[in-house]
Amino acid sequence: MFKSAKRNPLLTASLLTVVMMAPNAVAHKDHDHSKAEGVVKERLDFMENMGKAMGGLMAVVRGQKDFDAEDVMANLNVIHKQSGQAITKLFPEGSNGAPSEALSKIWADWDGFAEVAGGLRTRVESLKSAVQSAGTDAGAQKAALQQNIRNLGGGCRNCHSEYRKKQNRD
Amino acid sequence: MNSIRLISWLLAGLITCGTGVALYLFLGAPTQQRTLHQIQGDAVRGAYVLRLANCVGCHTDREAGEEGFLSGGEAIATPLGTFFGPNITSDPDYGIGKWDLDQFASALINGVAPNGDHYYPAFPFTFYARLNDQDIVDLWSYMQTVPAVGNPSQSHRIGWPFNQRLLMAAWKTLFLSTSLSQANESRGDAWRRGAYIVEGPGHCGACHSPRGPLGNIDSANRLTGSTIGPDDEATPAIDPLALAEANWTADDLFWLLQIGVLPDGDVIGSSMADVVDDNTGHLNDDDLRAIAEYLVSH
Repeated sequence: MFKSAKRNPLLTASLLTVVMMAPNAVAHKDHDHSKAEGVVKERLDFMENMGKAMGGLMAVVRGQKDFDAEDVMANLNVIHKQSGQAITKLFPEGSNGAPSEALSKIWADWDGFAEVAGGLRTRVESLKSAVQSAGTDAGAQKAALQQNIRNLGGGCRNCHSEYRKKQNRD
Repeated sequence: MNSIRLISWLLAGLITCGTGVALYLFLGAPTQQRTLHQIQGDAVRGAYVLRLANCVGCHTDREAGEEGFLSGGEAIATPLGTFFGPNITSDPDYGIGKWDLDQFASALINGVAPNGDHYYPAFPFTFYARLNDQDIVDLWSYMQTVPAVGNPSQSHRIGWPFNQRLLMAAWKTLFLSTSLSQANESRGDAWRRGAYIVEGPGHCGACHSPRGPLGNIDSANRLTGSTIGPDDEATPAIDPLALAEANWTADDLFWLLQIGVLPDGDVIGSSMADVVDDNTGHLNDDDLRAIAEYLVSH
């Protein structure tokens, strides 16, 4: 019976409407920093900053931006500085609840949380040294970035999959 | 007298129709027979098929370390009950070590266990029904190399009437189909490869499609997102219209599937991060490009 939808303009139109109105369409933005205050606001901004750095690296990896060693290192340094204990110290016990996206599992499993926060540090350090040891040739440096960015992304996912509230676009 | 006769005839008619419908429902499930034995299996390719079909996601307990690999998964909560992916290691008692290739194939494509039991559609056999012969044989070659783990599978927790496995025979008659829904001869190789992965082994629609009251995929609205994805959380729409609406390109999807990074530099979490870990993050660039092309343009 569903196959008839393809030939029925009215049904198709109503299906389209439903789809367009669907609140869970893939890229819906659901961060709302304006209501945040204190440590929650601090870490939402902190994470946004990290996202910007990652976005900058991705633009180079995706060929949307030319490789610029200084710019790439600056972005890597942002993530490096914002990893490990820089993350964990922003999560005092019980500092979750809207608009925070933190899950209470952070405190129930603090050691696991600290481990993935530290894991991000290890990953970004190995990416930095890969880019640095590629010498001064921009092509080789860019290749090193491309080869190791997956590993860095894993560092972000490890934390987001376990300790961050599901976002509408996940 | 006449009315009694009329009622008798009506009753007889109803019983005949009812029996007919019941017979159709319980015996009409499509069953595929594949001839696989002359095909040479490649365990290395099979390890790739394991990732392509994301077996790991439901058959592995992430908390259990190396022993956990394919030896039984975490709880999968659904409106029809809670399911546990069983142990599929090569253990002869607790895993699938005593199975043969035909039994393995039938489990995947017909959703039938070696003892004849019907599987529940939490196991995505409606997608695996589209697996090609080579992928099945390669996967079987690989499965035989998976180290045995003697970990008993957990029983599903399902309420009546869905705990009656026999009902799944009728379910299959209604909902198991093996054909791709679109004619695709006019499309290129990458698109068709993408169609095969998305609608077949990759089973994207298992989480990203709405389901009917019987747990069936709403095929007309497939990939338009679900309000009851993993862990009772909604999944986003990933059909071409929704993707275009949200300005997602095939290249955006490629990087999301490979690394988990969103166009703005944020990185996904939740169950899709697990999918990148277990499944899409292991696929080669050509397959990821193919999936992305199909998703934006089917």
